[in-house]
Amino acid sequence: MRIKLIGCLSTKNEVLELGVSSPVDCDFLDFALHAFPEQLHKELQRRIDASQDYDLIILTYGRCSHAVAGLVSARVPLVLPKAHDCISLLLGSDLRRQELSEENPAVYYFSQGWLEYARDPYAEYLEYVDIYGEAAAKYLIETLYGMYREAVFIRTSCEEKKLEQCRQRVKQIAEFFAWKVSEIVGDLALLNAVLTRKQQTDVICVAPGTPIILEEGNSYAD
Amino acid sequence: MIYAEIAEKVKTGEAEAVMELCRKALAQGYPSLAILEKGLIWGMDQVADKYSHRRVIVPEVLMSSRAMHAGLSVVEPQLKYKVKRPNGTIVIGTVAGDLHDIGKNLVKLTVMSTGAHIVDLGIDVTPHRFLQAVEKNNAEILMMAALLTTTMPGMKKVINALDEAGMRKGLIVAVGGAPLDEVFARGIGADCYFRCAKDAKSFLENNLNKIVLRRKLAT
Repeated sequence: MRIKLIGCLSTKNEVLELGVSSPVDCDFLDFALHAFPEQLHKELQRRIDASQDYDLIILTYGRCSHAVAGLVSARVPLVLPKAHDCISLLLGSDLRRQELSEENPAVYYFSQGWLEYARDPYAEYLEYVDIYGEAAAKYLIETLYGMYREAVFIRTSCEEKKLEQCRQRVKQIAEFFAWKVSEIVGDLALLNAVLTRKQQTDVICVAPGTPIILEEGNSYAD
Repeated sequence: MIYAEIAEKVKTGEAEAVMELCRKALAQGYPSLAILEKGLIWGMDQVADKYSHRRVIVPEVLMSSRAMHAGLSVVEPQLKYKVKRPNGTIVIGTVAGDLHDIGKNLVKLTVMSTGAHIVDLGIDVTPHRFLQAVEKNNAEILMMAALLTTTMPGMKKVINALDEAGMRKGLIVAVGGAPLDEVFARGIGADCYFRCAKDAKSFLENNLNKIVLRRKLAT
C-alpha cells in the first residue's frame, strides 16, 4: 500500500518521532500558511490532487480555521484527525484542550515545532521594531498579544539538549511579555491513531469523491 | 486640502502627523465633524477597502487604526454637542472564551460613521452579558465576533438564549470572524454574516434606518 502524508511543519517532529513506515511519502507544508486559511485550503487541495496515484492520503491537519473543510480527494481515501488544530493534536484531544482553556483562556501555546519552524511573537516584535520603530512596535505587539497571560510549552519527546533550548526560548519570550511560564506533557495518541489508521471516533475517514464536512456537534460545540 | 492630507496620514499610519494635522485644521477653523468624516474616516475607509476580504490582520491596518485613534483624541472633545443624534444602537462583543478583539475593534471604528451608538462589551462575553446589554440599551443590532473554531459555537448559545427569552423581535444578529462563513451564520440562525468591516459598514449604511423602524414596530 502506497501512502501519502500531507502535514504541517508544526507537528513534523512528532510525526517523525512516532515513525512512519517506509512506503509513506511525507510532504510538510510551511507553518505560515495557518494564518491564511484560504491559501492553506488551496495548497492542500493541490497536494491532494497531485497524490491521486497513492492508495491512501493522511492529513495531519486539524480544522485549522476551517481550511480542511470541503477538501476532496477524487479517487483516494483520506484520513485526518478530528481536532481543532495542532494544539489539540499535540494535547491528544479537543476535550483536553477545552478543559485547559476553561481553566485559563489567556494561554499562548508553544511546542518544539512552533519554536523551530514558526515566527514567535518576540521575533515578530523585533521585525516591527525594524520597520516601524520601538514605540509603534510595542503598540502592535500589545494589540496582537496583549490578551495573553501565560506561555505553556507542550512537551513532546525530543533530545535533552533541544528540549533545554526550547525551554530557554519560551522563558525568554515569556519574560519579554511578562507572561507566566508552565509546561505540560503532550499526548500523541490521537496523532498516532491517525498515522496507524486506527478506527476510532476522533479519526475521520473520508471516502473518495466525498468532501470533508466538519460537524459543529463535537465536544466544543455543546 | 487638509482633509486629504489627514486621510493620507491615516492611510500611512502616521499617528503623530495625524494629530498635528487635526490640531492645525481645528486652529484654522475647519469644522470638527468634517475633519472626522472627510479626513479620519475617509482615510480609514480607504484602508478598509484596500485590505477588505483579507482574513488576516496586517500591521499596516493596526498602524492606521492607531493613527485614527490619535486623530480622534484631538477632534473628539470638539465634537461634543455637534454630533447628529445617534441613530440606532449596536451591541458588539467577542464571544465567551475568545480573547481576540482586533477585528471587532476595526468594525467598531469603521461603522462609527453610520451614526449608530455603539456599546462595546469587549472580549470573553457570556450569553448572559450579551442579553443583558441588548435589553438595557434597547439595541436594534447585536454583533458578535469569534476568531477561533473552538469558540464560534458560543454564538449559537447566544442566539438560542435570545430566542428563549423572546428577544429576537426586530433584533438583527450579525456575526463575523476569520473562521466563519455564510453557511455557518445561516446554520446558527444569525441574520447577517459580515466578511469584513467594510461589509458591515455598507450593510448598515443601506439598512440602519429600516432596522431601527422595524424594531420600533416589533416591540
